[in-house]
Amino acid sequence: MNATAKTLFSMSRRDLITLVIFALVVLAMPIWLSPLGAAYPGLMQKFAIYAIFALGFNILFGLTGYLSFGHAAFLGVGSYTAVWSFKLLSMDVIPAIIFAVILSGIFAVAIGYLSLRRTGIYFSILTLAFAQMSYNLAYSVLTPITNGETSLQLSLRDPRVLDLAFGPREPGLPSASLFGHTFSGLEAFYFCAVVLLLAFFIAQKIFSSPFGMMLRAIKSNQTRMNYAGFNTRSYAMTAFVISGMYAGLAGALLAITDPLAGAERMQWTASGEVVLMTILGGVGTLIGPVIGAWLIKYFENIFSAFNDTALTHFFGFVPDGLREVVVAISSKFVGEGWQLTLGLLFVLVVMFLPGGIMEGVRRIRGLFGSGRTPQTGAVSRPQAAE
Amino acid sequence: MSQTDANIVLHVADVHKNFGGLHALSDIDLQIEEGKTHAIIGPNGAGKSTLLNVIIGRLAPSRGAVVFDGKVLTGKKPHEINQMGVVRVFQTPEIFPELSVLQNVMAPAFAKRDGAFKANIFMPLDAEKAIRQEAEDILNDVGLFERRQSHAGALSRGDKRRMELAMCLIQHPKLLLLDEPTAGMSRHDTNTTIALLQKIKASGMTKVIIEHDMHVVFSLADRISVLAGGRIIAEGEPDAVRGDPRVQEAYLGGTYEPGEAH
Amino acid sequence: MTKSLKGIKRRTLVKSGLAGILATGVAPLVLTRGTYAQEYCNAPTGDTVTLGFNVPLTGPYADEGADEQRAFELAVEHLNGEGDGGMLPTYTPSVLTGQGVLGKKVAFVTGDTQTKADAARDSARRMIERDGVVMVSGGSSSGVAIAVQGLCQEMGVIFMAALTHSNDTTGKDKKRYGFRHFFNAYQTGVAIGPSLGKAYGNDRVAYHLTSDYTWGWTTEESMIASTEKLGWKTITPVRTPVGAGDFSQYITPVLNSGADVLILNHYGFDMVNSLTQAVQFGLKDKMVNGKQFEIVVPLVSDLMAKGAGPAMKGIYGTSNWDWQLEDAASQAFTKSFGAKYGQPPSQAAHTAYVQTLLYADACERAGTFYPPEVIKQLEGFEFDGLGNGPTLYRAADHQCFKDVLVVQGKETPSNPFDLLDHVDTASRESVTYDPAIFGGELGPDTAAMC
Repeated sequence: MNATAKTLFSMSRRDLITLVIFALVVLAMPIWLSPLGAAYPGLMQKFAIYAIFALGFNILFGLTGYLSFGHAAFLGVGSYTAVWSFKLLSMDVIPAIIFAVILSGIFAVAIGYLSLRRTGIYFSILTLAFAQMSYNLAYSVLTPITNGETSLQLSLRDPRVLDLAFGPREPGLPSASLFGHTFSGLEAFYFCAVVLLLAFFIAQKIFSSPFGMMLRAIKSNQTRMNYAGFNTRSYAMTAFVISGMYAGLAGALLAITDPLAGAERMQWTASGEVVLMTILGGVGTLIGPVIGAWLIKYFENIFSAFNDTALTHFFGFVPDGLREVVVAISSKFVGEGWQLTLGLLFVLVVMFLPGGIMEGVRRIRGLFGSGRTPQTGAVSRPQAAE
Repeated sequence: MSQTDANIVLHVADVHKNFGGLHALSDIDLQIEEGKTHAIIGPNGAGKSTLLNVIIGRLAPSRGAVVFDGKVLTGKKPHEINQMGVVRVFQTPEIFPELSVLQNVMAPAFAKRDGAFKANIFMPLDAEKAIRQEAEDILNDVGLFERRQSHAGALSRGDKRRMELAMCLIQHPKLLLLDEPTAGMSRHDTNTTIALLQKIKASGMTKVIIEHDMHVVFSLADRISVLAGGRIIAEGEPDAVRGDPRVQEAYLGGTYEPGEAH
Repeated sequence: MTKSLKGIKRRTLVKSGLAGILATGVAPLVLTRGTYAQEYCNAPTGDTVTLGFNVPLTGPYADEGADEQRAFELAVEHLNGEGDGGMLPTYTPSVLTGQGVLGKKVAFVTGDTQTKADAARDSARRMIERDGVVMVSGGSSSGVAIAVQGLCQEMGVIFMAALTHSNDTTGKDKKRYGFRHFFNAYQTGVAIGPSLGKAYGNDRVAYHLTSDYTWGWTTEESMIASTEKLGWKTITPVRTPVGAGDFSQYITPVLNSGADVLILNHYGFDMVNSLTQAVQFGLKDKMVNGKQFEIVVPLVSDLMAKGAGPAMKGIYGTSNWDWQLEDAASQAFTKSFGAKYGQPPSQAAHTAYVQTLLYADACERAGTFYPPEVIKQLEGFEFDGLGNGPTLYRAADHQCFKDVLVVQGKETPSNPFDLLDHVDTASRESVTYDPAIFGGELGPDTAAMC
């Protein structure tokens, strides 16, 4: 028993240091994000949630190489499940999370069972097709369950059988709670942050386990895996379901921080976004996808809100006549032009840092610390010789 | 041929393989004894690789069956055949280029120990000391211990083949299939590999070697089958096969049965 | 207990956050903030008050969104006493001074809703949580407006809906904190009915193409109700996705359906695309059932008429407002908008401007930004001089009641902005309905702490 517990939490020194630093960075977000104008609960919650989504996606794409273009479907399933749990059972987040993770896992089993019969681009297209199907179901067919384009929301007349068994209905819409303590705003962020740390820890365990090595081996050479006696379909399936459950967890947290679930959350653009996050940050690295998620959410929420007034203020140091020119040019890249900026950044990263931002980090580190053990690329992290 | 008294590990029973109208294999009947090294030789296009693919389950025979250890292999998936103890070394090395050499050799050991699928994420790879030790020992045997932390994709072709052999040996197979293990190797590498295979031979592992390098074949084989035009035209001890005129004819470029689609 | 705790956390957060924002210079004019106790979400404590304008700058309704944003900026100028004052002088009964609101200078922040509920709520949360706005306005898609209205109710910030035309906004999804000046689909149906009957007769078969979301559904429902009252028949409506771009697959079946009228329950770029394609397919030149084939667009705007170009000629629709109206208020607004932007305002711009003024005025009358008091001032408020004639903000559902314009695409436009003929006006009485028909509940007006 003691030995089991020991292996359960045992991790290499390097992983432990990574976890501690990561925890500090995440929990200190309200401090270091404030100079960037991003330290408000709504965005920080998104940072934590989409980091979980990207972490899970990377377990599939980064390790096994199976590129799913339909992961937003699981995000949506998680959100819908959580909102229904709020509506029918209780505003407590625990059942909402449990149901969301289980149901998205079941969904992943079904979609994975069908999609994993193919590899490469055919797999991607199958997942895209299933996700688009789920989106259309949510958008127009299953409207009694999903409320279509208008989104599933809480209403004043929800049954909430568990909550109402213990107390009277209060006026107004309820908000999410944990063991009877309602939370929102900053508290909700810290809740998401703790869940993110847990998800990160599990991802670390997967990365450093033989199971994680098998997943990398599938990406490297599936034929050899088969001839070495591995049932690669089972491994890929497990990775698919785990990443689907991560997405479901992220979806549940989206619903917890903002009790609304819309079909657009399942649209292909949302599936594509997590692919971008992962590639931007660094496919197959642990931290990369998280950084990718933060960058994209930052662009989407902060750059898109810049307007000419804010720009004029920003370029206050530039002389008058020139300032208008600078503002006019830069305004094309902010506000509604934020996607242009993001696209440019993406192109630059893919062209010059194919391994994503993490490759940039490695290169910089390489410049300063030549004495380090040579790295063998983003995908494989050979075990340190003891 | 009557070898009923010997312990037959692999029996290729009356196998035919057609590709459309082409008879790639006809009337193949092979019995491989436990602990022996059996070589299958023949000119290019004789059907050697087809036969190997039939044995390993990559191709289904049009007729007949392959029986290993009393069980029919035909129709089984590659990983199931491996789990039964049949392991293959490929002609072009099938390795994990993105993993380290040590990880390449450790990975198959897990299939041997844990079966075709196990998803335990709580035991770190670093804690698998026994498997790591064994992999390092085998890497030492094949002369790659010093390079265990290298990227497998960065190895030379000869090193990749030796590493692949190590990946197979760590599974302690009941039957090892080698597809031209020295093809494309320098003379020096070939000799090293022969020495290595002779060392394994002493361990009593059953092996089937597909090869056309006679030097390799006669250094290793206990028994030789000669394949030409999809048929076995001769079989016996190395010395007997060496003197067989039909074998000489086949190697001179003629076909055993004129008129057969080939 | 939790409330005060949260309050403290928020304040320190805002303070440290603000220092940072200022340091990088991106502060959207939120200059000073005291540390007095807040009794409600984002109580303005300095000498400015910030409003949030949340409009679609990308997506199928981007044109409308851009025009709304222009109007918001103009409204802020006028509230602060800059420019020519626009409709401030014509508005009655007004207590607006042109000195800001309650002595505070009006500042604003903007955001892109992307015409998506999630993005719109993200954007609104940024405005409320980071920028400390006391009011959010915007719209252009009813789905988005309803989603943001729900968020504002939860966070205790007033939502002054701009362009949203679905019955649900002030119907089944109405909220205590949400107010709509724009008319709705039901009123469109009632207003356009008589004109359609007069022009196309009582024996028609209508085919509906409908945007597949709350606005499309309610418009379709209202149009069916009003045309069937005329005696028209309806062929089962077809739903189309928002932002479809290519509508040809939906238009081809119309020809063989036996219908002689096509009703396009589309808006924005969707309407521009579907109408243009329907005209290109020759629908308007067809004779069906011995009658000329006709197309109807229930909700039209100048921007859409401009986008659709010649395809718009002769097409009937309704509008909330048109810049060619001749009352003094409309003229003043058009002049002021034209002077700043070089083009006449659209109805989207008009409603955005009006909503900003109405909110500011209600705060002045309440003497506070405290939302429950501001809500009381808006509920049941009767006003005039904002371009729509006498108007009532009904207390029961927060819907404005005023005349509705029936318009028709001009055959020979005299200039690029002169695109719609004002053919009829449905009186305020005729478009007034019982709020009970749509159900819904406003909910409580208790002040939330964000």
